[in-house]
Amino acid sequence: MSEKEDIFQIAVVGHTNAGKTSLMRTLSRDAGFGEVSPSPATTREVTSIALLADGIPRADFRDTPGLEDSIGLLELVDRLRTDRRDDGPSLIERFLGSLEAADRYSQEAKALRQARIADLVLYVIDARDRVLPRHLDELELLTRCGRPVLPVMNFVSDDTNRNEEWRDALARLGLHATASFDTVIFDADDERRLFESMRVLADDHAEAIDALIEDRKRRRRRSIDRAANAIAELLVDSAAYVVVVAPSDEAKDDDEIRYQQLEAEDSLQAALRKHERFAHRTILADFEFTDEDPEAALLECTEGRLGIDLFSKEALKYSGVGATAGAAGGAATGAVIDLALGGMSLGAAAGIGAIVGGLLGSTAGQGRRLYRRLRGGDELRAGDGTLQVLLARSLDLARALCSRGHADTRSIAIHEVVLKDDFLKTVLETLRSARSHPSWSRVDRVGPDSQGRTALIKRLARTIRSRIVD
Amino acid sequence: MSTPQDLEVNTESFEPPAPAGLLASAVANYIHSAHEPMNMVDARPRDPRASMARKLDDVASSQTDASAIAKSIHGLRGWMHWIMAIGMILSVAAGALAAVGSLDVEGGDPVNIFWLLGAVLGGQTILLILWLLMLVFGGRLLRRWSIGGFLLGFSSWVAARVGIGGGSTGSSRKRQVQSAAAAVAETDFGGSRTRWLLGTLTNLAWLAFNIGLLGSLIGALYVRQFDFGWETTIGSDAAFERATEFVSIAPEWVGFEVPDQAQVLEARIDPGTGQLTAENETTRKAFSSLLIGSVVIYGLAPRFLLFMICLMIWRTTRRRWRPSVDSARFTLLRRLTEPQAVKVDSDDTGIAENTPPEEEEPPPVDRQTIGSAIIGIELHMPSCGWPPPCGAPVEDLGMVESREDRIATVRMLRYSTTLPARLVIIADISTTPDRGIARSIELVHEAADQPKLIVILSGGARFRDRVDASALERRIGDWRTMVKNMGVGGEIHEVDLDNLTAASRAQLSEAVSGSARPNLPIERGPVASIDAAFAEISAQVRRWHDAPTDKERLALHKAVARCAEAETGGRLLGTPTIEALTRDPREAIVEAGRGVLAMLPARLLASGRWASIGGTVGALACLATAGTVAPAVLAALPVWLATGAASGAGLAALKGPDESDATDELMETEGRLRGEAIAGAAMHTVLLTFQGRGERTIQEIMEKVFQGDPPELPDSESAAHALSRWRSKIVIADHESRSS
Repeated sequence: MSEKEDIFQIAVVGHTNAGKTSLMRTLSRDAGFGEVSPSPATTREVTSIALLADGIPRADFRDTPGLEDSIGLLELVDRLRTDRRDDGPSLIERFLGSLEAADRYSQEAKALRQARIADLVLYVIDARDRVLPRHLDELELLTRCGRPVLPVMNFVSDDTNRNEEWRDALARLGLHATASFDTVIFDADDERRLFESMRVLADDHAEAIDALIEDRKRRRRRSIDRAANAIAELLVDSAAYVVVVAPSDEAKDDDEIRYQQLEAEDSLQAALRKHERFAHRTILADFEFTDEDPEAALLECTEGRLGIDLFSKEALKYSGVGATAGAAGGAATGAVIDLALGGMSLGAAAGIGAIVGGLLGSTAGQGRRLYRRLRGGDELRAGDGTLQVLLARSLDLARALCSRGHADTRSIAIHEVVLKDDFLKTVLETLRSARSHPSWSRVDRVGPDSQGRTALIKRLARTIRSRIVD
Repeated sequence: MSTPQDLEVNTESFEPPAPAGLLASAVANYIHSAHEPMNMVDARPRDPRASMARKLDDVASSQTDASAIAKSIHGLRGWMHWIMAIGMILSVAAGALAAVGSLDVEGGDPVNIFWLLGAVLGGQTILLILWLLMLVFGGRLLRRWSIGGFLLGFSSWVAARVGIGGGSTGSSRKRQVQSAAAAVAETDFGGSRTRWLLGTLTNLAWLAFNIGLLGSLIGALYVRQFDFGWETTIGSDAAFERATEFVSIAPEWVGFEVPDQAQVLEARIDPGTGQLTAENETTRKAFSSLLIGSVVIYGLAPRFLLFMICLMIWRTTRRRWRPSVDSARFTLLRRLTEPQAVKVDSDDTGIAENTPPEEEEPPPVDRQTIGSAIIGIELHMPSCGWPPPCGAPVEDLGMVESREDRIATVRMLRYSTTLPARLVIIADISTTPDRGIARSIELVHEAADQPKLIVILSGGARFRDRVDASALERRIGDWRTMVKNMGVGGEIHEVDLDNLTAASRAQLSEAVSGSARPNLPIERGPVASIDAAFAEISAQVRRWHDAPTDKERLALHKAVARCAEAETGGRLLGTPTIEALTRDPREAIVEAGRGVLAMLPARLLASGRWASIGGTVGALACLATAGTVAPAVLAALPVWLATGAASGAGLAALKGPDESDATDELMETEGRLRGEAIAGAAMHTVLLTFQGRGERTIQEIMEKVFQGDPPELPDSESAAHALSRWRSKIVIADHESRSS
């Protein structure tokens, strides 16, 4: 119990629909917290969430029902004054003990009760709203609670914001410390500044706030690292992935061989689609986005962008494939016959030398591949164009998630990326070594990680990371 | 995805197999290899301060099929132990056979002691040296050459066939074993553990060999009498004496009896007779003891020692193994171990104690009620100014925002000698209709002695920029609910005072003066549903990147149908059902196209392009209302659209020869394609909205709305303009058709 008393307590209050629950969602990185809607009184009960740093609860944020009828309530509170010496907190206490607090103003009472016991009150403002007298009445009520109040302006990134108007009005009330924190368009720096402002007003809990700031900083860095890693893995797996067109003795005529090739193409595409989905789900999880129904979440948060088939023309176009000459081969199906071996003709004089070279210079797997090739089998693999689409799409997702608040319920427009040529070239160049190691691929198998694979992923992730945050 | 059986397995609690992180790795593999995305069980680590590997194990053990996977891990290791046991038995047998073979049990000749020692110990000593060299220099080679991998492959093959652990079947069973195998391969054989495992196994095998050897030697020596001797062809006797001494050092040190110099000389095989120089009981015993001592010291002991060392190192490295948690396959599990926030139960109780004093009601006065009064509540100053042009004299109660305003207005009404018959409240649609607003309205309404209440919501355009169509609908609904809950009855209108048009001006004056048709549901009239549909259309158009794809066009029409759902059910009358569609798609499409064409006015019908748009609208309309559309239907979409367009254009050619369009071979530009798609959606909207009014009216409205050729709309801005143009034309046409 004493531990519970000691924890930093913050009451999140504000006008109805200002985005209190949204603030909770974004701070807790939990898009499923509470209920958010444009209707009034969506939050009816006080719900509480503890923010953790290193697994230890550090701050208890309490989401309260919105203040709706502050004009009427302030009138009531004023009427409760019986003595000249009655100060704000005593009036509020008197109100909280009254029948009205259980009846007509029960919602307001819930919020004010939290504001009375909290170490700090966050007053959430929809910066798109005009400054109305009732907002000022709300602030008047809150300041009477006798607790430090920090106004937090939400939706500051919206075009129609009235940040200046609000700041001015708050300054007139003596509230000079304000924080801007858009719950929909996430900005890590804004979040840090919000915590820093909180520290100024609640010095007793500076340690807890510092721990939270530090934890969040670390997590953010880690999220980006891991997303980069996930993208790198996706690319390495896909580049290394090989589908063998088995040379069967029955298939003599061209039609049958073609049929086998088409089948192999299909299985290659299906495997890569599935793998991409897994990678995207991973990236979502890296940024703490919902795990329930990841498919729907993906489709929703990218305006269906990532629902476009990986091998469709739209996907190619959107990723800028076609503009680059290197991607021409296999762009249509995403599959190319492996040129590294498939291009070698059986009768080539270099054959013997290549066999020897192949056996000695590479792993045993290489020798088997060569053998297969010699028997007339082909190997299909993802073309550079497909790798480019995979790269562009997952990079976009990661970038979009970087600045997506957990309160955002809308779909976000993903901007068409322009992969810079040199970056693309570096990535494809780096991936070349994965091409000759089919065993590195985790597309349709699991296995212990080889050192070569791990090293390549690490290298690639470094390159990709710089593109997630620029 | 998960069968009831799996869920049952899930509830078991079990100790995850060592080392920490192994189970997590196997479960991660399992999740990774799932064909459909697996749902994660929301578990939390028991101890947030435990190591990452332990925390991962914790959350992994709560996942679907985790206990089956754990069983697979135990099963795999069990199989490997069996394979090792069999290998050891074989080694013991090999050792025994080697002893018997080297002793030449049948012959009566003396046994050449050096020959025997070379046979039983020489080979393995050379291999031991080779192994040591490999251990030091062959790290790279060993890493590649994975005996562990082989063992594992074999045991997982067996395991998958025999079916160890778990209760599920089919491919998920196979995946469980594979996932477990891959994880075990990494923890037990991966990295540097390969070489130490290899060392453990080879030394263990040789240890077993030596045990077999020793056992069979002792057995043979026990039941048979052997004469031990030595001979040489080119060596000197002295060298052999020294060699015997040298070999004897270690066994003697340990306590084995060894032959002395005299006994060694006695054991010299006489070159003449082929028999020993002299041999007696003690010499025999001394040599036997030397033989056994040598096997123990030079064969058994080093192997035992090396076996123990390798095993220890292998175990240590295995214990030190940590899952590579940054790998993508761990992400979903990892997320559960690092909660950033936890929900807290909070208690919120308030006890009512006393009642505050109630304000006294002023005594009612008999007053005259006349005319209308308008009041703006928390209204954003509209661009048309205040008061808005109401087209009739009204009493202006001003704009109310603060408590002071409210009190002043209430006081004014209370003490006024005349009261309004109609109280028109004007508010921003962006204002959430909460209890504060309700209270303000109630107070004013009460003070005015409960006249008829009309609420006009302004600022629609501004609000639409902020939210989507559904939120707008919802907001209007919230306002309606609020007014209803006040229990005084009242109308709600949406009139945007910032963008007054002739139609909305008329609506405003109707609302204020009270001449609005009472039976017409104005707040949800055709304009509202058209607004909703058009807002949806421009929202979708903004997302297009170039000419719309067939799917995008379908989405557009679906949205239109959805917006009209509340009004008309969203289904275009006369369009075929999905059953008809699947039965005979071509016929159904042509029919749908005809249905739409029947409602087109002659001028549009004569134009090839409008007619083709009409046909396509028919095709899309029936698909749009078909609910979830089967993939096969989607796949055939382009064909159907073409059919619809062709049927439309074909009919147009029959009905009215219009050269200008028939010969029009314009380029299919992007703007043109977009324009046609948007015009189609607009046409669909009009048809849906007015379809109850009769064919004649619809034709008139269409005639007035869609003038000229279908426009080219290359970007979303031009699309928005066209839509708003059409909207105002629709409003006017609707008004005219109703007034005529």
